[in-house]
Amino acid sequence: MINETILPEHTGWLLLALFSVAWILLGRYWGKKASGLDGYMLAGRSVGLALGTATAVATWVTSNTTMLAPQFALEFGIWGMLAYSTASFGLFLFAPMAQRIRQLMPRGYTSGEFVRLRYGRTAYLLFLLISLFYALTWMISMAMAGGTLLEALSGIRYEFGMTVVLGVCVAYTLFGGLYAVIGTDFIQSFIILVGVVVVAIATLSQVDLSQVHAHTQATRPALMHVMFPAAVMAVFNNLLFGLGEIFHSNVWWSRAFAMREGVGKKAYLLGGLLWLPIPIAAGFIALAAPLLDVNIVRPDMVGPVVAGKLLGSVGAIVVFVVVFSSIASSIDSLLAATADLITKDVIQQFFMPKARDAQLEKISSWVIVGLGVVTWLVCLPRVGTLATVLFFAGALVASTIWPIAMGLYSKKTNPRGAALGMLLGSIGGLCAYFLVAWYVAALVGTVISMTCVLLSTWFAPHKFDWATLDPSPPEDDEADTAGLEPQPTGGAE
Amino acid sequence: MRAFLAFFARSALLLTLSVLAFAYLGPASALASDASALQAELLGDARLESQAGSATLNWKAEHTGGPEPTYQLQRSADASFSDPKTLYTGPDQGRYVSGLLDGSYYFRVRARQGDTAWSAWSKPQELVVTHWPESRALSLMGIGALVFLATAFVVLRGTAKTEPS
Repeated sequence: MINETILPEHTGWLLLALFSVAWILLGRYWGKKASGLDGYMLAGRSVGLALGTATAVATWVTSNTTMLAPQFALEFGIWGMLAYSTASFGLFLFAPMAQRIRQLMPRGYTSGEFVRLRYGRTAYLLFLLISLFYALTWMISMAMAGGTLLEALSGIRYEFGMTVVLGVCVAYTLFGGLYAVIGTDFIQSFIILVGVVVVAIATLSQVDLSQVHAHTQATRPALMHVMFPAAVMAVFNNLLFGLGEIFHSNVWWSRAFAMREGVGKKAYLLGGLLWLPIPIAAGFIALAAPLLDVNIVRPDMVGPVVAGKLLGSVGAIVVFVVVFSSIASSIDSLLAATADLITKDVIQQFFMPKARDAQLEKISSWVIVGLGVVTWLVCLPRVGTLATVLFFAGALVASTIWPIAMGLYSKKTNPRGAALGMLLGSIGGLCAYFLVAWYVAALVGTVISMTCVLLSTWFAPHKFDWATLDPSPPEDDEADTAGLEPQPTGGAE
Repeated sequence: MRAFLAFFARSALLLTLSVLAFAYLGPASALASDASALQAELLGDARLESQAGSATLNWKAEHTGGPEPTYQLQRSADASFSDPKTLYTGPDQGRYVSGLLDGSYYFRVRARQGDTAWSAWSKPQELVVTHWPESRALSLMGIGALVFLATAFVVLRGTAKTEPS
């Protein structure tokens, strides 16, 4: 239990009220552009480079970046900081994949749609389970982070803070769909980048690097060891977890569909480059904690608490705004993308196959509200730290890396192998999570899944027709899409 | 009669002084008795294990009024606390410890309210750190590197083959 806060409670409430009103008004403003299902779900498929890059950065700078990256540094030392920054490789590798996705599915909506058309029903159901579980877990960890942060910084009770953060995100996502999400992401990414730079510079000006090194070496020696076993094990686990998160999640696929032709590749590359130094900067301040004699009660709170201690009330306000922005930018993206997935891949596929766009748009709004309520209910008991909650999903998403990557580039990838890879990879990863440790779950899941996909493709190669991924092109669009036709001889094989 | 009055006056004076003394000292003695009853304890199992050199310690002290207690946490390499090191003094009821090397570490906590005397030390909690074998860690790192390189190869080679010129 934390008894010391660095902001008065009334200041916390004031900041919360100010930014809540700002996000809702901005969301409403941008949301006015949304018309029709494409407008609401995919921002009219016309997102340019600036907004595309900003939304990639803001969505990937989650509260996990500002809260878990410092936790990694405090738990695993230098390796922990580097391990967290490897999550940028997910954006780097997804950059060319975004272009391929847009090329193969110019009228696509969700990642689930790809898996259904590429691999059939069994793999599709497995994928939906994994994807929905992950999306909910991520959203829960974000909402928990919101409540925890407000409590640590200002003493606002966890239940109240979490409720406000979640409620605000639901409100503006509801008003404006993906337009509102991407528009607010643009402002939020700017706030996050400026805030992180300010905190990093202020930290460096107040803390001597050599002292931090000497003190950490004396009081927490394992953090400085090159051969810190748990940290070494966590490096590629985190990298693969990041790949799994981005490759499969509809948060990233919906942006690939939403960006203009040719924009996705550049936007994701730029986003990755801008994101890369953020966890290193955020992680560094955690290593200053032992020197500053800051008591850390919850490891996921080390970043905000140290920044507040170093920079006083102004620092606490900056951290508050940065983390609130990063949490909001992720929750809104998850709400929109998961609502798309549930509306298109669950409700339309299984219950209302003949639903019209207007009906689907209305259903999507209700799904956003429902997701908010479910997340709120799960968050109330406040179980586990951020890392343990989120890394539970690591095993599952890592098992989708190879089915997705091979499915996009190789015609020969076997659908049964892909389904088996996701199933056995998830089971194996979860076993590793419970029997070994959370920091090997994604690695084990990926290895098992990769083996299944490669062996099944080797022994029973499939012959997939890429045109299946774009089943009903409207006649008047044929001329426009002529240059985007899938390459019949393409593939990694 | 005079003797009676003198006795009465002395008795009244004694009674008044007693009431005043009780009023003044009573709460203090009650506080002293509460403080002596204050007992901090570390929560969870008496023996914790970690393979990452880290653990979260939590503690509490039951109290029925007065100010919030201040706690003091100490660590030692032996159960008798022959060479204790104070890690924290303050109102928080937990601490995350990390970066510990292989070995056993013992923790204890005590509490006090305001400026009263410290309570007795809690029963010690032992944290046993046994890091994973380096060979296992390096093997997993190697496998992770191979899987990542293979994934990057699939994506980059696939892109090179399928990207429109």
